[in-house]
Order: sequence, then C-alpha cells, then structure tokens
Amino acid sequence: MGCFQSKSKKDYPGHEDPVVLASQTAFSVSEVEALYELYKSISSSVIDDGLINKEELQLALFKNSKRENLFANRIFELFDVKRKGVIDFGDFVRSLNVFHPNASQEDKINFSFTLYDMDDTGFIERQEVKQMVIALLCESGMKLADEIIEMILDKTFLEVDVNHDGKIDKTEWLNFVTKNPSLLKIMTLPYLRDITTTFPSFVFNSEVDEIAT
Amino acid sequence: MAGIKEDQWFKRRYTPVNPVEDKEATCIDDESLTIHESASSEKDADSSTLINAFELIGMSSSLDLSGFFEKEDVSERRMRFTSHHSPKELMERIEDIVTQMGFVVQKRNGKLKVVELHKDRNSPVNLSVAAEVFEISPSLYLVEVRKSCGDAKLYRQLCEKLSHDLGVPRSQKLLNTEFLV
Repeated sequence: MGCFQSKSKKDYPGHEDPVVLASQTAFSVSEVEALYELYKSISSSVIDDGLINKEELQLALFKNSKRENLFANRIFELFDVKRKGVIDFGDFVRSLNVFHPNASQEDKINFSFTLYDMDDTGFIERQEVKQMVIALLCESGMKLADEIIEMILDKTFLEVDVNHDGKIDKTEWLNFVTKNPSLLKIMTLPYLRDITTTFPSFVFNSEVDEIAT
Repeated sequence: MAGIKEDQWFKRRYTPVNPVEDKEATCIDDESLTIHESASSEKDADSSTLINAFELIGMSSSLDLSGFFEKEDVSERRMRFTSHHSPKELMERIEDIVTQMGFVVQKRNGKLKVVELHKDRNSPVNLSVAAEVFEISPSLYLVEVRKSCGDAKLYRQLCEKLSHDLGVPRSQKLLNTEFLV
C-alpha cells in the first residue's frame, strides 16, 4: 500500500514533495501526482533531463517547438519562477495553480498584469500593448491599418489609463479587469478540475513498480 | 494485462482513458467558464461593442494553455476571420449554414452555440461549437468559431463551409486551415 511519504522520494527524484506542493496550492495530493504525469511527458520530450526547457514548453502548448513568439516567451519566463532558464516541477505546479478555477482572483489579476508587462517595468506601456496587438494580428493572418490599431489603443487607454500617463499601473489594471472580467478568461483552465481523470491514476503505476522490484 | 484489468482491485481506482469517451466526458463547455455573462446586458445578438486591445490580445493561441491538455493543435479547434458584414448578418448567415448542415443552434448573449445531436448509441453530443462576433471598427468585424468538444473532421467541414460561404479571403484561410493540408 504505502503512504505518500514513502513514495515521494523514489518517484519524484530531485523534485519537491507532492504533499508540500498540495499544501501550498489549490491541488490535492492526487492532483499534484497527476500533474507529475503531465510534467514527465513534457520534460522528456526534447531532452530527458526532468526539466522543462523553452522548446519543450512550446511543443507541449503548440504541438510545434518552432512556434516561438512574444507571448510564448513571456509565458515561459513567468513559469520559470526561479529564473533558471528551465521550469522544474515545483515551478510548474505553482504556476498552473494560478490557472486553477479555485485560485484567487487576486493571483490571476497579478499574473495577467505581469504577463502583459513584457519588459518588467511595473507598468504596461502603450507601446507594449501595440506590440502585443500586432503580434496577435500577425498570428491570425489579419492585417489592420495602423489608424485602426491606434484607434483600438486609444479606446482601450481611454478606459483603462485613468491618470492619462500613457501606461497602465497595477491599480488601473485591477479596476479595468474588475469591470471587464472576461479579460481574465485566459487565466482559468477548467481542465485542472478534472486532472486526475485526464491523467490516469499514478497509484497504478507505482504499485507496478513495487511489484517489478 | 487483460487479467489485471478484470481484477476488482484494479477496477476500484482506475479510470480508463478512452479517447472518444474522454472527449465527451471532459467536454470543456465555454459557456461554463464565461465569467459574468449577465453583466454584459448590452451585448445582444444584434450588436457588439467595440473590441478593446486586451480582448484582442487575449485571443492569442500562445496565451491559451489548454494546449497542455488537448491533443489537437489549437488551429484545429479554433478559427478566426474578419468580415465586413454586420454582426446581425454574420450571425444569421452562420445560423443558416449550420442549420442546413443538420446542427442545432442555441443563441445567448450575442454568442451562437452549435450542437450536433449524435445519431447513434449513447453519445448525445458529437460536436459542440461556439461562434462569436467582435467589432474592430464600425465596418470591420472579427468572427471567432471555437470547438469546445467533438469530432475534428466534422468541425473542419463546418469551418470550410463557413469560410466558403462568408467569403473569407485566402490569406486568412491559409493560416486558419493549415490542418487541412
């Protein structure tokens, strides 16, 4: 049978204990263990080193490791919590935790702000927003005249940039997404509620290991 | 292996991962994750408010982490194109096209949900798709067609038909239909 403690050291070499991760996140221990199944497949896809590098993240998200872009890079940076250039299991679980349907709105709002603050200045500048809009249009194969893009930016900034300084600070962002909650839709992954169904029980796997040895 | 699967002990905890069943069981209904729908009372089937930059940005596939859990590439689950037709016209046209194809349509809050009732056995739904129109400028609209679950081939057929009937320009079609190649 075995208890969680006895399994963790053997099955999670070099990674944080699932019990600890579960206690710090919205995930149960079984869910963290199911996430480990996902993590293992992603982290071994290009280099089997137990860590997720940028290429592996791209491959997992886009089924295409070459699709590097503004947003993919930023997502990687945010998941790479310790700024080591790789994502370890703890980083992975803690980052995904923000996307859990039960995670706090505050965490989601903070994450989204940091996400869009591409150059980490503590503000989302107009130029950054323009860059992101252009990136989206490019990705969708859409071309819009510069005047139209500027018009969209004008309208957006009129609503969000309350102190008219040409950039969005944390408070302005907070107020803006509170009024427009659909903007946080990207910050929730309903899949995380059914994670133990999507990734079959690890219990079966580890029982087999014990029988084999 | 078969012997193990038969065993009571195994059955107790094991949830079989059947790709077909799984899709049905874990159908992520966009309607269920739309936050605060009741507040957007201005958004009815006839009008759409001008899109803001972050709504546009949020549409990026690169910001869609569902890729972790979906087997198909996002281009096989989502299609976007621009059109000069009014939202009302677009919705009507989409509704006509999908009804002709044998789908059932539900309308709510400016969004159109397409459901095909599966003919056989116990699976009640074979395809669930949502369509939404956003205003970029008074004469330019963005249409998004998303598959929340169901048969990929059927979805592709639906997209092809929509693209064709709504006159989607080739350049946009190319990017959206890479999976058809």
